[in-house]
Amino acid sequence: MVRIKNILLSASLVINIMLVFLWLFESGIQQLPPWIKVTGRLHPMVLHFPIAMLLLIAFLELLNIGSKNTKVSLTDSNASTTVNHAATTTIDLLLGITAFTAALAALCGFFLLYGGGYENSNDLYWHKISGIITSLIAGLLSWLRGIKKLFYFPALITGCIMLIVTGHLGSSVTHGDDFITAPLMAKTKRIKDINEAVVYEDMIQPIFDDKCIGCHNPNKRKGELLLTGYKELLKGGENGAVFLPGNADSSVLFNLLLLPANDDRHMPPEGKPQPDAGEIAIIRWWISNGADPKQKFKDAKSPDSITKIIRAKYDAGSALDQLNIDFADIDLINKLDNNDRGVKQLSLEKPYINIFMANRKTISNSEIEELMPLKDQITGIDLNYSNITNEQVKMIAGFPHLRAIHFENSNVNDSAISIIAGLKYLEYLNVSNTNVTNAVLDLASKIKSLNRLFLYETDVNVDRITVFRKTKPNIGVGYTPDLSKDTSYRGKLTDPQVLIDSNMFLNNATVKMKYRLKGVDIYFTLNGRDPDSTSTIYKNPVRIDSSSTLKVIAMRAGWQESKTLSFKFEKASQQFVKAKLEIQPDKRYPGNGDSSLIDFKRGAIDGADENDIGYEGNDMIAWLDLGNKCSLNGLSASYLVDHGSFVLAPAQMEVWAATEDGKKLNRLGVVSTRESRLQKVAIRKLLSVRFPRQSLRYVIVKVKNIGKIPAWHPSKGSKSWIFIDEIIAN
Amino acid sequence: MEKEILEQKLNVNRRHFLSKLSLGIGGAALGSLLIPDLFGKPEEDKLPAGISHFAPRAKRVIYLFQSGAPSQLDLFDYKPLLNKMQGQDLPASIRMGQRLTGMTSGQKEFPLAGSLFKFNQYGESRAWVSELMPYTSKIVDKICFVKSMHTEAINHDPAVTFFQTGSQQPGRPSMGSWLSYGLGSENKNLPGFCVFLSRGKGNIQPLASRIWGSGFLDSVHQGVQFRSAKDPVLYLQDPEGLDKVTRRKMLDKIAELNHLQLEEFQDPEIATRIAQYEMAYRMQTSVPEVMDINDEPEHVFKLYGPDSMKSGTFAANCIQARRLAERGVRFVQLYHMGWDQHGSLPRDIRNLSKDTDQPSAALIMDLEQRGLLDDTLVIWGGEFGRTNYCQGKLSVDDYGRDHHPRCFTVWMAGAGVKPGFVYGETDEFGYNVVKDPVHVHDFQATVMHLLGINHEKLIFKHQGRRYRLTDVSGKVVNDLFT
Repeated sequence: MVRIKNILLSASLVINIMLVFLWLFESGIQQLPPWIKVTGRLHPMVLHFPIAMLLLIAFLELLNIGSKNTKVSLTDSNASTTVNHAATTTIDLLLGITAFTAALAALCGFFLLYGGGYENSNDLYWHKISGIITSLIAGLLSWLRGIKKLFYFPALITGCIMLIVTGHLGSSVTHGDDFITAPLMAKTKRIKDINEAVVYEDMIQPIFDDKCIGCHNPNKRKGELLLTGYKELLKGGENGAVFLPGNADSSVLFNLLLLPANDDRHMPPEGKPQPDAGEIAIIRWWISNGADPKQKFKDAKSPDSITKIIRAKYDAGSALDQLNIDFADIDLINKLDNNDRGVKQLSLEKPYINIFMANRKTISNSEIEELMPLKDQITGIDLNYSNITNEQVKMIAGFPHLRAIHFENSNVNDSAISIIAGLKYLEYLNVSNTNVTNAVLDLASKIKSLNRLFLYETDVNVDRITVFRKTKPNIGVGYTPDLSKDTSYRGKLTDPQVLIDSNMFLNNATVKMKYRLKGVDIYFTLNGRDPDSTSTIYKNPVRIDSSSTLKVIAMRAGWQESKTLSFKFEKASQQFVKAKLEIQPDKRYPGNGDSSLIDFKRGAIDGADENDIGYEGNDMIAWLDLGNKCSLNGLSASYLVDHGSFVLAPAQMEVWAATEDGKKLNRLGVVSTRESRLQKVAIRKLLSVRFPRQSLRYVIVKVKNIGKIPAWHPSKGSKSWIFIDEIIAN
Repeated sequence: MEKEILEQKLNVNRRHFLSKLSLGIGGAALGSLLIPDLFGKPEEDKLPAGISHFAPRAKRVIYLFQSGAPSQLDLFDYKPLLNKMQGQDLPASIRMGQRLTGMTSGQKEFPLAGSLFKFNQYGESRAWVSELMPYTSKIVDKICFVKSMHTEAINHDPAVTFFQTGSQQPGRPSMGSWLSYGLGSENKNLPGFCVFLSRGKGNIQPLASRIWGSGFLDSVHQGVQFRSAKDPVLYLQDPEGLDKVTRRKMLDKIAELNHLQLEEFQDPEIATRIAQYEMAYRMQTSVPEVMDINDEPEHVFKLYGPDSMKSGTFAANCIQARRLAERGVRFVQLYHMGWDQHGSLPRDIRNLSKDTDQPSAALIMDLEQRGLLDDTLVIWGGEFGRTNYCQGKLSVDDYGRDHHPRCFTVWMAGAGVKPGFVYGETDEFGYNVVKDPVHVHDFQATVMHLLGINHEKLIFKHQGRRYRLTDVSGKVVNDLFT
């Protein structure tokens, strides 16, 4: 073991002498042979050995001291000595390895340095010197431990310190100055008002300061280029100008930034802190934009992407953010938050609180007073659709950091606005549909921070708003547009609502009509003519007591009239007393029994219901009894058409005179229908058979199903349905 | 001796301390590697719901869902090549084995069908819009088109379910429920998630109420459907003969009993039930008030178009959506049904466009003039797109289009979304996305981001698994934000 140690120590001595020699005569070093360069590149690997060894030795020595202090008194001294001896031998060997590897690491470092690729810098210089010193100390340690115990420990400690210093300097050379602390430090200076900032001074030069002037300063003057100010920048370096204002892509400065990192001409050199993609984009934009030294950000045309990068990098946030308001107590917020008053912190990032007190007919003073502990955090309040007194507005004006006030649809007027005009951070004010007048414009122009004002549905004069927009271009104003001049908004009225209790009746029917929009008049006729403004105006429910056609239209000045709606009414001259179905209807649609056909109860307008009798594929044959002989000249049946549900119009309706026991006598009349195209909307229609007036008591009505769905329907071939809800005698 | 014993103890303690420390530090280090948030903000989990993760840009959402899938090729995604190649077969190199629905998988050929409708560029943004959307073309500078949406589902129900809940299988909470869960409701007298349905003249695909259901979240977060009839919300009004005072007394007594149960069993569903009864009581007055549109001035009806006076139409629902948004409802979802145009597309798409074009554009303008567009996000779009080839017979003036999941267009407006912006691109056949694809989960993550929610952090543990709206994926599309 001792032999190995001695060999290692000798080797380290040789290397150390070489190191000092190299250091003294470094100016004479010429081109290195490739194999030396390879050795040099092992530096980053070899250097780990002395670091680990030296620290291990320090640790072992520490343990050694510990065991001497405690164990000697407790155990017999022989054993202790044996233990200590073993440790000592180990440490001696380790010291030898340390000395050798430290010297080797330093030598490799030298080779790496002269192999090229490194620019001289302070860090590099001190790294070199401290490396040599560390190597020398490591060599000395082994010797000191044997002879000069007194100097051994101080030397060991110094060695460890030098190790850390050297290591740190080395990492600075490779990774850059602030490699370790970079994540902790937000170095960029934030700008309070980004729009007023000068682009060059506040955004471009700081990048040069950060990334370039380490070398391009009056002391170092790399390439004779200085990047310390605008004048120097324009002057350029040893090869002349470095950039062309207005053309980034042909500028040397910009192109060197873009070269691949391992290119020799790439700037900043490999190993130095590099500008990020955002910073490069900003520089490019600034040069392309003319590289103006005095231009303010608000005057410089910046595309979205650049604005975004600049805001993220430099914006200090709103004036309010800069106050660094404390977060409110979350329990207090929750306590104050209730069904009538919403108290809500807007995000976890910032302490701002919004108050929601909209739709409140009355608000008590105490409800606002209770919010005073949160006055610093409250930045928004919603009072839309609420009633609020001026006294309460005064209290609200005591929330100094309000940014947004929603007064829309509330009862406020000019005096309330004058109360809040002193708020310093107010950006958004909505007084739509309130009693404010022209005076609100003057009040608003006093609020310096305001940038949005909403005056929709107010009496504020449109011309005054136009003037205001010109004088205060930074305040966006929302107001009611004048639609009267815009013909594209001349809308057509929709159909009026017509509510009919029954359009097949024995005595009379009542019709109600409605229109949603105020000021719309509904006109109607009952004689079959199309209604116009000379027809009857609807006022009260209309009673209809004969078979007739009702036509309805809605009209209003400034609008196109509605479609004319038409409704047929059938008055029954006689009432059937008994009905009997000869073919049983489908089990699912039996109606309310056979008498459903004659009960004057109608099915729903757009679908089958309990008043309908339905057949799938089959015909309906009904025997009907009038109770006694009556004079008749026709029969009407109401049926449903709902193609989407396979409900088709009947093919035919036949009416026969009949006997009491259900035998057909003679055919009185027949009517046929024919459908040829698909209808998407369900509707009810009437089939009427007319015949010479005659006296009858019993009739048989045969409604013929078309049977199979014809070809024009997507489900051709399936069984078709018929639905009949009512049959009346005319 | 005492001294020695003491020292020995100290010694042992030190050894123990060091060995424990090393274990502890090792464990902590490993832990922080495996769970990055271990040392982050552990208190986040305990924070009450209702606080955004970061400053929200949008306070609320109005989602104009176009159920049935509108044809992007006839509305917004202009592909003149299809007109040039009219009737030619879709090249296999473009289709790339795309799974087809049962409706066209049997077709022997896939003739390309160009749009029958004229396209033009509008506004400063020069966005392409077809003649079917004259009103939308006027507001292109206020909206942001995403032309590169794509989805995984090829049929309506799974696709709508996927869009709304992040999963094709039913059972998960809807987007509005997640937001109600994450952010709470501003106006406690109205539900945080309201739903309206309307039907166009066309092929209607049914919608199940589970699409706006709350899944495994508390049922207070489910969407409440508003109808156009006399009772907008069913089962809200007191039965005949029951006066308000009696009702109040009854609710108080029931709440008392429920509280007793809650104390004993600690079942959160009991607390939900108490809250639901209370909400229903408050809605008895708040709902009729908000639904009564008689106080709307005439120019509003003009703006939204004639249909807006007819209750139950898409236009009328748009006005309702605005009224609810004004009153602090977090999420208003409209569904307009009837866009499923497999055949007779030119005829049906005219009707559907007419139903939705003017009201949708009007809603944007109306919100803007009222100062609400700043913090309201409006979304317009369907569940997938439609094919560039014809389903069925292609003729000079008639064609149909099948379902197409690989690309479609949605638009968004308001609240922090770039106005006058077109994002993403499809190939010249309008079949595949070639630039900036946006998956449905990306879209959901983006919407949540606008509301200040980190989609990876809004989670709910159910049956041993943590669920989120975006399942295990989703990237926020930052390029859409101002």
